[in-house]
Amino acid sequence: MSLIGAPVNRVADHVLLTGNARYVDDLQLAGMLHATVLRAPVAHARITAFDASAALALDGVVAVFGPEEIARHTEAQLCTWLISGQKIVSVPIADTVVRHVGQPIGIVVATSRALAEDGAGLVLVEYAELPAVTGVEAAVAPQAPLLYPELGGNVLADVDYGDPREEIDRVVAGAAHVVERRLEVPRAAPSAMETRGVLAAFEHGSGELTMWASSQNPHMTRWHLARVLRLPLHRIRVIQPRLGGSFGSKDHLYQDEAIVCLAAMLLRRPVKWIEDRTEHFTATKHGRGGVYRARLALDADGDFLALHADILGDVGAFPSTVGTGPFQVTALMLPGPYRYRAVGARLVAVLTNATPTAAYRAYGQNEAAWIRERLIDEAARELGLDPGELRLRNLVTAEEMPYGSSASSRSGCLPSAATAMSRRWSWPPENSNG
Amino acid sequence: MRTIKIVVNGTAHDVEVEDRTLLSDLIRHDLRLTGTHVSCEQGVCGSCTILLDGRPVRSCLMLAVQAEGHEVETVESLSGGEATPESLTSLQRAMSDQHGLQCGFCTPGILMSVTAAQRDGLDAEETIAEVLGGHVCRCTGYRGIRAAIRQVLP
Amino acid sequence: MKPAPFTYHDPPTVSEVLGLLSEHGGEAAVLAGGQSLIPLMNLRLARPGVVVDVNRVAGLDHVEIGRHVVRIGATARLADLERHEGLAEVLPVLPAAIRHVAHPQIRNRTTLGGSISHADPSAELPAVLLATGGRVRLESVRGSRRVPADDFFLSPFRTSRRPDELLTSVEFPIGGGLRFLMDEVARREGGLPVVSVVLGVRTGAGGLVAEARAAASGVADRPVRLRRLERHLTGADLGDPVVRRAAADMAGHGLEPPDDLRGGGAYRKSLLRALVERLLEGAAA
Repeated sequence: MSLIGAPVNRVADHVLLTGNARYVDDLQLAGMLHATVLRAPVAHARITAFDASAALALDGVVAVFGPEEIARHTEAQLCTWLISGQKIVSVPIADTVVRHVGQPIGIVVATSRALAEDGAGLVLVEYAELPAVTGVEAAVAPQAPLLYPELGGNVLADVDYGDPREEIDRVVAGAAHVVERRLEVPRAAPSAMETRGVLAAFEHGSGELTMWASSQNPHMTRWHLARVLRLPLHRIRVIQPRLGGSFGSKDHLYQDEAIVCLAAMLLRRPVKWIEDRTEHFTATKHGRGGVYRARLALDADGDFLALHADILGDVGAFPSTVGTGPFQVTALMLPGPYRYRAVGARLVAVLTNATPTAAYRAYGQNEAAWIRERLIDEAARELGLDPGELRLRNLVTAEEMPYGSSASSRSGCLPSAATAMSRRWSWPPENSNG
Repeated sequence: MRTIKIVVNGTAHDVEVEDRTLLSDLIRHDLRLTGTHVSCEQGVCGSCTILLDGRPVRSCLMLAVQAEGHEVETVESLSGGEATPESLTSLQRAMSDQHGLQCGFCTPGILMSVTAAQRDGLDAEETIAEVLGGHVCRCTGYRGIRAAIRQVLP
Repeated sequence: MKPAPFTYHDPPTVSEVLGLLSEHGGEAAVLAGGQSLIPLMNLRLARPGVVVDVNRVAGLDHVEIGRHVVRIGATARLADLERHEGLAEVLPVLPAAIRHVAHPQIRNRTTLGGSISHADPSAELPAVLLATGGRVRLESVRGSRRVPADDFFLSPFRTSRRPDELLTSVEFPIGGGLRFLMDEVARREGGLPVVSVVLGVRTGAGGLVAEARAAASGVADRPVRLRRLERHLTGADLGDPVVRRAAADMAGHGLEPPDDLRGGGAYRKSLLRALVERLLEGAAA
């Protein structure tokens, strides 16, 4: 019997449906302690004092580690997906400079989560606030506050993609019609139903660290942990229990997760930390976030001549491990399945005083599709053309295959596929009775 | 700390709890019934929904001490403690048939609410409009969940 | 996200509750349904040193339907009131409004007294109390008093209840010939409304409005009576769409709704306008 076209039940549904699935917060180890992460309540500041004595005096609080102590015990985490000329290539696990609300600055470990939170309320942290900048356009404006004054600006990288810019500009200049728009894609908080969480256990003697993590990328997490915690790779095991959703947000080792592992090592006790929902909105990397000034040039017949986007990508307070990756994908996917004489994008990746951005749901691709297709719709409206016809006219055909665009299909069936789809979903609307 | 008497899934327990312990934490961490999930701890998402004296409620919005003398049902009770494809209730089966779950984190809460609706004789459309509104799912887009409810409710 | 420590009491009688409130005053929080208090405690936005749980007080959840007034005990749960047959007959706007309050899972715990005394400026039930001209009964060891809805809601989440007082019951007048309707706009099913409106109309001679009462939530720092609208409607012919539109147009006069994450002030005003027109159409039908 073929499975193709037949309804198929997933093999582990009965485990999930009966409440037997084990997510990270469902695990307990003997002697386990509970942690809460201390987070910055301000967007940009220097920490001038950190005093945990009142917290440590509370019955049940086992340890408090602040930014300096954490930094002493850890190496900076490497950015693994780099872009040409990227000005920051590693990020400290804890820092005395705060660059976004929610940045982890320490950890409180106690015999229960409630006690850890009681202790967190007693830690005195003094901040010397600095002017903050959010939003990519504000961050590249003259006199904008600088996140890293030593860089001389808030631009992390500036890279061109596709055909030479002069050629694109020349084609645009000679076009009968140019549609240009400033488009904005807001940030998104991934918000998987299960927040992030870690249970870490360090075996004294063997020096082996076991980390159970709500992670979608345990191997990469292990690789990063080894460097950050100065452990040989073979002494680290990262176990991924059931995962309550991720959407890309659990693709990284986060600083706070490394801090939980460090606490388990220093205390020689298993330590569990479960992110809470309010933390999640500032602590878990956001998706998207960009401003796109994009233009589509057409000739008098409606043939596409050029497509170009100036991308201002919101990196946030520091590059995540995938860094500018999502914006690079937007630049690369921008052409889509159409033909142009010249096509490209410029990516200016911008640092802002906000949560770092990273992978989220087919990252970069949605933005590319939206920018391109929005311009096509706008062009159709301005030129009085049918948007479906305009697309069909410009789709790469079978005869043109293989076509040198980054995102085009190899099969060459795009026009016929588009026609079939428009029939299937009654589009364009005037054909809806057809 | 005080000792409370509580019946969970038909079993009577005497458990010691702090005044501030949430019912969700008592169920999960003290009674080790980890099928009840916690996602927002502010009553919005519905993952922690259990039945209290037969009615669906948020276990994160009750203190454990408030459950003294009450009867609690959790997802573990639905298939009588079994965990095989054959042991599933019609609703659990429908959720699987209709792909009403992916990561499964929100699923136990939804199962409890819909089970109560089923017992109360609600029809599928009432359940979808009213009861399902009290649950957030981030994977499925709800389409599969609605189809599952229609598969089992009139 | 766990509550800060507190001492828990769950006394079985009102007088014991009042004794505790008298003893602990502002340090104590009254726990009824817990659907607003416990989230605030979990977030540590509320950190009461003493929690007085009134769920075990016998007889505090009564529904008494009299000739002129419906008296409902503070711990009556919204889910029970929603299905209460007698109530649906004499005050149908209350169960209708309740069905807009959150989700069934929340209404299974939420109490009427809690909903009213929480005094969320966007919530439905305070607006129902205002529009119907209801009042609350407050008791303390010092005695008891009745406070009309008009004097109860002061500012966001603040009422004229004193720290040692317990809201024991809520009273709604009935039998005055007013027919109440309510409607709202919320961002999602069961969400807190952006704006909700409650409107009551008594039709008199010639089909003209003899008396109107209206209140709205989400348009000020507290639920408010729409007194100008009430005056404007008196004597109006609701069968005329032009009259209805003119009334809707002036409903927001004098209001300056706040901007917040659920909606800007101008948007709230336009919702108020649309909801009033919709309700007037319903009242005319």
